[in-house]
Amino acid sequence: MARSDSGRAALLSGLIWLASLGAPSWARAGAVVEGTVTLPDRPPPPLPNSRYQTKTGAEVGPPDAPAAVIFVESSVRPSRADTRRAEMAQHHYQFAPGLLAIERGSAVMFPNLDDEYHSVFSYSKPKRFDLGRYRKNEQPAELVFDQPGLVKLFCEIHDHMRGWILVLDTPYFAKTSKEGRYRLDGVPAGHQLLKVWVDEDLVWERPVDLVEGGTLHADFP
Amino acid sequence: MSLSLTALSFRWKLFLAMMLVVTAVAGGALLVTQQAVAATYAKIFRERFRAEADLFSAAQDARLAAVKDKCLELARSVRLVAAFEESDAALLYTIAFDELRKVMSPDVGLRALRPATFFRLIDRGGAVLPPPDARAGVLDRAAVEPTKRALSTAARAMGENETQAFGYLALAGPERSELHEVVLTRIVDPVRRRPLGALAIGFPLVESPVTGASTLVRSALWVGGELHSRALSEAARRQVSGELARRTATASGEWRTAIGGVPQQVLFRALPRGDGFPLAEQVSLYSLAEPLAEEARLRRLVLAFGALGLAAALVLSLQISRGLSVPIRELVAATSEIQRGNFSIQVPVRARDEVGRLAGSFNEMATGLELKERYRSLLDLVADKQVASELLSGGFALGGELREVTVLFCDIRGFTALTEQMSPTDVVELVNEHMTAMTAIVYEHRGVVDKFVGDLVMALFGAPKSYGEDALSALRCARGMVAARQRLNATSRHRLEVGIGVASGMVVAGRMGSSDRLSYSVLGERVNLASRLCSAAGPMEILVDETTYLHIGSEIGADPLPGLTLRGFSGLMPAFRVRPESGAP
Repeated sequence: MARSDSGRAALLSGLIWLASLGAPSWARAGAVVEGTVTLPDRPPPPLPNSRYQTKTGAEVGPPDAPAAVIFVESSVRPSRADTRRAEMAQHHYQFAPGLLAIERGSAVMFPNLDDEYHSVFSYSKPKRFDLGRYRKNEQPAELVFDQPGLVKLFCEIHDHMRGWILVLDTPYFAKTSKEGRYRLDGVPAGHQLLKVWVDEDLVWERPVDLVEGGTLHADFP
Repeated sequence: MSLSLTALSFRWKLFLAMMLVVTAVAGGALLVTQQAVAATYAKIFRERFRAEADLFSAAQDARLAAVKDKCLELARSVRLVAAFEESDAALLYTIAFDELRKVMSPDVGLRALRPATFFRLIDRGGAVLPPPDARAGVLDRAAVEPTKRALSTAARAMGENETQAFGYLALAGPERSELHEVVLTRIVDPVRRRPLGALAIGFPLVESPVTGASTLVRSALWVGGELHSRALSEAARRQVSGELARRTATASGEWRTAIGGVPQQVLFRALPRGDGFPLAEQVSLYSLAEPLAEEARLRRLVLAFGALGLAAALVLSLQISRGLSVPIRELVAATSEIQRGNFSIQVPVRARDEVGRLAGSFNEMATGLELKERYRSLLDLVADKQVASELLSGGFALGGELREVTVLFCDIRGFTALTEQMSPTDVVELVNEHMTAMTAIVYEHRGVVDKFVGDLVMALFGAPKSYGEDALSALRCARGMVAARQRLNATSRHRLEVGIGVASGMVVAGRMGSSDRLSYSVLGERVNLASRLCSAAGPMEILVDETTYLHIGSEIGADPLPGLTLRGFSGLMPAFRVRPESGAP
């Protein structure tokens, strides 16, 4: 059972990855920005808490590796009829992915892939919600994030679980790999402000001049 | 001192000594008693204070254990952490109130815990987040700012590894400031390990039963320079508070003070507190009225016994000194009697002690003296007075000595013929009258009556002691004897005539006789000569030998006689007849 669950998670991840790669044709028209972001170290393990244990005795997985989000705030907006969808699963008692970047107006699903209840909530101003307790296969309602900003996710049952949804007011963004490499393409040419979101307290930015069809290499910091 | 002491009578000395002893014993007893009472009460107070302190701590632990756990639980609440992440004060207070509802609610309070007065959330920088509504507890307007400052200070003082701190705060109230126990809990994001802020919750401090207004024990808490106790008046609180402020350098201690005229022993100890909280001390006042009363009672007892002892000492010393002074007075009086010659005096022996033995010895001495005096009188009777005294004083050399002596013999002419017809009684009377008169004359001239032999008197001049001009004295004596006899003849029933012979020269003088009967006398040719001259002398005649004649010279007139033939002397012996006194009949 667990095996098929993890298989399904992998499949989902793959689909999401494909969806991000399979960008629409208009995006290819612009410039490409790529480079490496030096990411912060993996945080230390959380403080031990004897208040709870996983009921099934399942092992708590490591939190998702740190990652950063590179984006360009642009007033140029392609019009789109469909709602973009993303997924913030709970797997191995961690949010998967730990950091999710979405464009404003996107809908996010919160599937529970563990054999125990999760109870996801957020007090963040861009989206304050509380999904309440739900089990695997009890698909809670998907949420639309229509305010830009950082939404911090908690599970009331498992207080070590932390997740972040970065709602961006732009379609031009990319998340680094765990090594810190990124590639952002289809960015409109011209003078742009390149931003790197590393942490709620740490955002780098750099003005860049992008040439149509050209590739800019930018490493951070 | 020694002078004044020697001037004191035995009675006073004895009394002083006894008084000294009684006073010393009573004083010592008083000192020991007082110290013992003081030490006992000090120990009792310390033990009571320790018990009170332990009880206070135990009650506090019991009261706050649940609250501390609740706070720690809340600090780990993921919702609270989430709300802190958003720095949303309203949300934070809502979440905290949900968790602390039971602690804050007066209806469903935890056991042994009064509902909390307030709780406050403090941000990462130490600032107290303003509560959005009354659910977090409303403070008196005067207490708001001071409480904020105090909580900020305490929160900032908390160490990085400290999870909870505890302390006392005095919160201004509508009437008086109320003491609060405050539990401060740090809130840390357990995942990212960064401090988020703190939660403070304050409970009114209940005056425990121990902290009540007992007359013997009054307990108080001293927080931030102010003493809190319902049992003490404001003036007393201020006084004790001032006195304590000077002593807070030590963790515990005690001192003595007086409140409302009643002495008090004050004991204090520092209460455990977080670094940022004001100094807090637990204080207990123990009334010293009871121990002092006990001390006074014991003192009265000791003094009463001391006074009794003194009275007994007085009576005893009087009794003892009387036992001494009465016999001594009697002895002194008896000594005076002895001095006056009354040797028959005896003192009563009143006891078998030293004084009694002294009285006994005195009596024996008096008896001895009396006996001696009797012997002396007897000796005077049987021997010449001078000889007797010389004998008694041991003035005579043992054996004899050669001395220049004048010897006088005087006897009655025709005595045998005269007394033949007389009764023995008359004879004795006659002899005694005559001899008494003659002896008186001898003594008058410092002569010694050597012996009486019948009607004869033998007298010595110059022995046993010479007074100078012994021969002259003898002649004067002889003349005196003649004159005395003539006077006696004028009055006496019997007319008697005497003949006197006097001779001078070297004789042997000394104690003579057998070993058990001795008499002082002289021996020698001159003695015989005087005796022969006496026999040769006519009635009322005085014959002297040549040596005497040469001694007297022209002082007394004497006529030489033709040489006399005397028995025992070869040839004619020169002799001289003394002329009668001019003017004599």
